[in-house]
Amino acid sequence: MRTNMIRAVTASAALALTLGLGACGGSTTTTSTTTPAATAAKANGQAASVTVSDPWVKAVDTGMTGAFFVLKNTGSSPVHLVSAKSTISPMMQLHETVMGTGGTMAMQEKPGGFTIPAGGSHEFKPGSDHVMFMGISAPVKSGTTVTFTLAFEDGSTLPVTAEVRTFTGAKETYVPGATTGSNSMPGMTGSGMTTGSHG
Amino acid sequence: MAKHQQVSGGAAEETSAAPSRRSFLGTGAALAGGAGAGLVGFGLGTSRATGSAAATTASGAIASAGAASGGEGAAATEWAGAVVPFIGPHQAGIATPPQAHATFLALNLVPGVGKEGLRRLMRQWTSDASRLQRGIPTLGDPQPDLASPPSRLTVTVGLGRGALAEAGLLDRAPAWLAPLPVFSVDKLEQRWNDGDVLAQVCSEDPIILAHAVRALLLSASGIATLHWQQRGFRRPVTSTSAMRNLMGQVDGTVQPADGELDQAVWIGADGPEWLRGGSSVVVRRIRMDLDTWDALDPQAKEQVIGRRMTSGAPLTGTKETDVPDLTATVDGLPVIPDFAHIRHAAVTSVAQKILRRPYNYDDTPAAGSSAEAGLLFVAYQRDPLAQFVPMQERLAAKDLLNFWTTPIGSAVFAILPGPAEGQTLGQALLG
Repeated sequence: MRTNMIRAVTASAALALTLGLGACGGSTTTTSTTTPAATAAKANGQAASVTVSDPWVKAVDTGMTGAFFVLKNTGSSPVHLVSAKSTISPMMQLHETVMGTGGTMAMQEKPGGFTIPAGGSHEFKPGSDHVMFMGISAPVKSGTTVTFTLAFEDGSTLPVTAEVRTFTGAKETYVPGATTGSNSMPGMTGSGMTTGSHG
Repeated sequence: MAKHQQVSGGAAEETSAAPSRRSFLGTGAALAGGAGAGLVGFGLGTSRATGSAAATTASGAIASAGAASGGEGAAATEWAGAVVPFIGPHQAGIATPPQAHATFLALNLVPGVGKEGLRRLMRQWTSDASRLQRGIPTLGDPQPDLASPPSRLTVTVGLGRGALAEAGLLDRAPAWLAPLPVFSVDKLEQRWNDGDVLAQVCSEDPIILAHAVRALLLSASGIATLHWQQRGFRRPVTSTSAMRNLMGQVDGTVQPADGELDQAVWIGADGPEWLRGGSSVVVRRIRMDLDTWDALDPQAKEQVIGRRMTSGAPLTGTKETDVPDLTATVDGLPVIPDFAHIRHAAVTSVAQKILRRPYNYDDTPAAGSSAEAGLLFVAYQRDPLAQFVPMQERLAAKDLLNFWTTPIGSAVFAILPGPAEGQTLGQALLG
């Protein structure tokens, strides 16, 4: 169903779409894992109005993985997520997932990041938008936690502590530098920081 | 003590009129104090419906959003939104009135994972249980649509001796945390024995239960592997009929009262610090020979157990709750025979009582046989060596019921205290 929608949109070459909003905005349940904005390093910027709930990271030995969470903008102005950093990864990107050649879902960097409107929320989840970790050199084990920092357009940042979980999905092909869905290369396998999948 | 019996979680905030056995007892008013709330239903046969279905959900272990969470018909949603709180001094699923369906999982830790591996497992299970009991999918749940309505889901976690061994913490293990002594009637099979880690998972809804079990196993991947899984069933707490085992007997009549749990069930200041508020559980798989039992006439069945089959009343009484008179005789012969089950199961002090939470099993028989059935005997107590073992020694020696029942599996686990908000199961042991 969602796949069909993605196919339709990609066919019209509107690749800058933000997946997940509306179509997938289901479970915004807040739990005890919510990271309050008060913990943001710069609580006076855009980060101050952002809450992150249910953050988790897929367990992986080495290579790549993703972080998933619900980001909510509780403020009265839009916030613009532009990057992420973590000590466990030398290279992190904000990713979207699009339909590639042959029907394989492919993930690629989301140019310009994500804008969340005032009062809105955005779900980062497997098979959709996510925060990508690359070049992981030490095992990220289930039942541990990973800390990463979300950075916003105005330079404000929000630290997030995520549970590491075993997850067998999220095997989208990663295509560095792809600019359209038709350029993605399903089935391409690789390693290290450039090409591979979440798994 | 049993302060965990409070309503929490999204759907459950809308209380409705889900009947509880406690409310049937007309003791609802006594519940409002919190202590002991929800502790009666495990009386199994003792609390059958006698009155109206007026409910007191806010004070019991149960709250229900009823049709609000499912809308799939009244019958299907009777318990649908009911949430048993996860946070509290004692884990859920012990004093909680027994749900209709249960799966017991025993896992063995992967050699070498050590204390850190056990901690990782407990962190994930804490996260999983706290979410699933509220009907919220686990993080990364591959089947999020199967998490709700939770239908009184509980996850109760225990550690076997092997877990402490793998974690290098054997010096913290109480003496009772070990395989039980072998009883003369035992024919134990290793496939049902022991285990490093236990999860007792219960719900009124077998689909919800199956999903929760799978979620726990997914979280264990790489850390622990399944050793055994046992599934059981019993009447819903709302049933107007007593819990019966598959031999037809009213089962589980004698239980510690609400006010006796500190003495009989919960580990206190004299126990290991990491188990205070916790308990111990004995899980025994007791196979029944239903073919030979069926051949027995009804009067003989009553002599074997010492109770009437239909009413569950002791042979010296008229109703199930009557206290058996073990001294009564007729023509010089005891009314409750010397070989009767209840004679040897009887205890004289509160501290000897065990909290029984049994489930029937009725698994696929081998081709050519008529049944692979029995009872998952589940007993919670402070100290199995002081409570379960003396009772079972008497039963093994003199109980005629042994002729038709055979223990084929046995395991003992230390039941962790309930987690406080923000804490992890086993945190007092594992840090």
